[in-house]
Amino acid sequence: MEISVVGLSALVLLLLLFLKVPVFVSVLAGSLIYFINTPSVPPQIIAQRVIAGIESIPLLAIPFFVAAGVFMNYSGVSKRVMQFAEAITGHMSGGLAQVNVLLSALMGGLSGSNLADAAMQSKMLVPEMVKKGYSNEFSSVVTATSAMVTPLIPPGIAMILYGSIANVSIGRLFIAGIGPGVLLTISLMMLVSFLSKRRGYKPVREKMIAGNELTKAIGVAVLPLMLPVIIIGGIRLGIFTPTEAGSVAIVYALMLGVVYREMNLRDFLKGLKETITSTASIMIIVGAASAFAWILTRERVPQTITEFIVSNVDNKYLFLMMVNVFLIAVGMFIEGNAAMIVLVPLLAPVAAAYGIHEIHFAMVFIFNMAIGALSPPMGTLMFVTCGITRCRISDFIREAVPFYILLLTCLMLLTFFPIFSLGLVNLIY
Amino acid sequence: SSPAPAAPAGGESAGGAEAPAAAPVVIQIGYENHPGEPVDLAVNEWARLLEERSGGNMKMEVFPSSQLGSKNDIIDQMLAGSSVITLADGAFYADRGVPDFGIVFGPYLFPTWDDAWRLIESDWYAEQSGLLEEQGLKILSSNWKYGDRHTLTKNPVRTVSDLQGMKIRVPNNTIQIKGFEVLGAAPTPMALGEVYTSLQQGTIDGLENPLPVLYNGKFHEVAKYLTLDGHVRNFTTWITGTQFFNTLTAEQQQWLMETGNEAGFFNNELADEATEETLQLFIDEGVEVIEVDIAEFAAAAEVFYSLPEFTSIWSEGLYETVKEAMQ
Amino acid sequence: MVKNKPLNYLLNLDLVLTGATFLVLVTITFAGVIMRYFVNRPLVWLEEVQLMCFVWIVFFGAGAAFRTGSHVAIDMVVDRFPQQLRKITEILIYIAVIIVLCYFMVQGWSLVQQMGQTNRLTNIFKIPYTLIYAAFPIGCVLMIINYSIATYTQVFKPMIFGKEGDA
Ligand code: NA
Ligand code: NA
Repeated sequence: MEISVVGLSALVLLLLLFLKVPVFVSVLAGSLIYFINTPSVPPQIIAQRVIAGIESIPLLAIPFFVAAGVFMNYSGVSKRVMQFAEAITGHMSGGLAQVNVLLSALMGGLSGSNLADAAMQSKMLVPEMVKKGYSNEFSSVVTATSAMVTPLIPPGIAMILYGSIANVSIGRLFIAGIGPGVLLTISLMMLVSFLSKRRGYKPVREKMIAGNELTKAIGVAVLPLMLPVIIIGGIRLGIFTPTEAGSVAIVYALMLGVVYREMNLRDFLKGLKETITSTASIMIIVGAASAFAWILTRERVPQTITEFIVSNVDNKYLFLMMVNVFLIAVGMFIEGNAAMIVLVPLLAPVAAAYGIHEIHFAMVFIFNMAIGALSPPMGTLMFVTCGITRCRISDFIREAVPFYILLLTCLMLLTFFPIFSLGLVNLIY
Repeated sequence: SSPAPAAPAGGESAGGAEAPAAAPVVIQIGYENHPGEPVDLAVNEWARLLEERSGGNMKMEVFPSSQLGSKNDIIDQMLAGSSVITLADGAFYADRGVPDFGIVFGPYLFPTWDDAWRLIESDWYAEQSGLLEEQGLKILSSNWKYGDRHTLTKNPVRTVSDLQGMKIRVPNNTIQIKGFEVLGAAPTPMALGEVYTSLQQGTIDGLENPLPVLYNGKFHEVAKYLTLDGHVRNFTTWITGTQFFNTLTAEQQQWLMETGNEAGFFNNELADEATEETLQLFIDEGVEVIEVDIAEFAAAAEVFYSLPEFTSIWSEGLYETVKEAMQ
Repeated sequence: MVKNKPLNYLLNLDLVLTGATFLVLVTITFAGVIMRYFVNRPLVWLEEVQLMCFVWIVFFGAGAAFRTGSHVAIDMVVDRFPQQLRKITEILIYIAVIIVLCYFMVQGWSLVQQMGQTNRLTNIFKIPYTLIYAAFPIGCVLMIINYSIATYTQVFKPMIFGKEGDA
């Protein structure tokens, strides 16, 4: 009986979602249906679950990096970084799109939040890309898909969580993430290059920049280029946490705004306003999604489906395939870390019983969750990016098709060739 | 040993005749520990015992890894009338309107575990439990050993002076913050999810918890010194809301509480085994285990009990009262 | 949208408040880094104040996000509807959103009342949770107001006065 209530909730959610009701309201409406039909749960808990989904220190990275992106635009930092990036990558097809991908890999080295990464780059890179002739939807899709790299490159919250739930070495998981992270980065760059050629995003110069010109390009961007140095250095030296790094980035961007004299009080206030509205629209989806995830967990929906899979599959490869399909579906409805808490204890022992290496399975799991964040109906990464770049969801999805195919290909490689996950770990340990 | 049932159980609704064989009472039990930890195994045992004892009349759904929400969230849920149970301890009850309860989380309060077990059977404890019930929270079982809390650090701690200025991650409550401050450390509240990387990079120097929690978080991969300082003997309790508890029949209430205590004994055996096993795992994985002079630490911590932060909210002579109650 | 200046300030009060809160958030976080690393005295109250600021920013800002059109919606189905059906759908969407937000406002308010009755406070500064959670029902009210204004100007006004009425 409870299951039918959950089914109705999900139905209402999907119906409203596709009827142009704001995403967070659709999700809240789904939860509302559950709460009015479940008298054993006091209804004010629904409000608690939405707030609880937001009250988390690691999530502070989102407003911080949104603001960092915003203020880098107004202070003239983005412009200089992009000039430099264009000078360096100008000989490549779709140079700025490549920069977008590479920057996510770099960001991955300091934060574990794909949402923060996507939010910052949507603010900072996409407008510059559009100015240089890239389409908004292409820029948005590149930003959102490349943000998937961040949780794979250490450090990542997902790995820490996985390690502590499934009793796997977090240090080894960190190392294991590098392989899939690099695989994804390189294949994304290849795809971007291929698509850019077809779209006619031509190189702006013939050869790679060198000599005097290079020195000049670095000179223009030297202060902005110090930012990643300061942030990565600060984290590695233990001065601040990855979350706090966002506030350091804001302070640095504001300082440069003063140095370059490009940002006035009006810009500052405008930036503040953009930060607030973007943060609120992202976080309220996160909060609503976490309330809905709570309902699914409480009614043991993912648990029940898992038990069904486990008791009906008796082949290692079939099991992995079923897990892939199931996890992508789960990832569409439940935020990755919340899903992990529920499903890892159920699936990891079964995987071990099939003789699947624990680290290999962890990578497959984490990669699946990352894909879910990108796919409709509830892919948070997609909504965050589109919310900021104002890209229409329909345009985004159409543009994303080749990227989805690439991601699924990477997933298959990762699933059936453990070497991608285990190669580096075996080399080091 | 079980806590003395302080208040006459379930006034209003329990008075009625034996309930007809209706749908079973379903209770959700939520806690932070991950599957496989002693607490989790013992909770599953509790669920099994309860279903068996009640002849299927009561069912317990188990939610590990904070799946139902944080401890404070679950406490708010039970205060709203939800049929939930969670694990909490004195530090939380101090924040929920029973300030004296906080003392059971003070450093080096219990010389031995038996002192703790005597305290939970004392009149003082029954009185505190009664005060908690007035706040809407009913303690179901108190005989659960959560474990001795020890300290894991990046640099060795052999004496109290080694702790000087060390940034030790503690849970975000005054009792645990002050408990480390009096030892000279710089207590640093931080979300547990951020601790691993913060330790790795040296943003903080260490953390404290019972051994199984320290081990499961894999913190020893990045902090190699384990000091067995046992600063808190952490017994823990299970609570539910009085609002829900009072909807149960007297019989159901009794089933729930007695199976809880039975599962508690089961837990304590597992916890002792787990402590030994975990200690061996730490050694096997290259952690230096440091035995310290507990008396030195306890002496340094004694000033905790006369800090104005606490004496101003505690009943007068609380420390002496509690010491006496555990005789 | 609104030409009246004082009214404009009033309508942007939420942004003024959240903007100031955000500056506080960045400042205390930065100060926390300095106090922990350079002074070796970590701010023990940091976490609870950060979270309070965060909750305020999100819920007070969520109304403003309707004004700037920052809330995402999936448009691919409705935009293919014939004109007449689209108009009806947009009215129904409006009603549905208002119902949902009203429900959450009421439940948020009960949660705030519960915090008041049980007198729940933060650990260090003893800030009442009523103050923190009040952001939720107030945010719902702000969303209802802002969503109504936005829907009126973008959907109903052109529907009544034709597209030119928008100028
Ligand atoms: Na990362
Ligand atoms: Na990117």
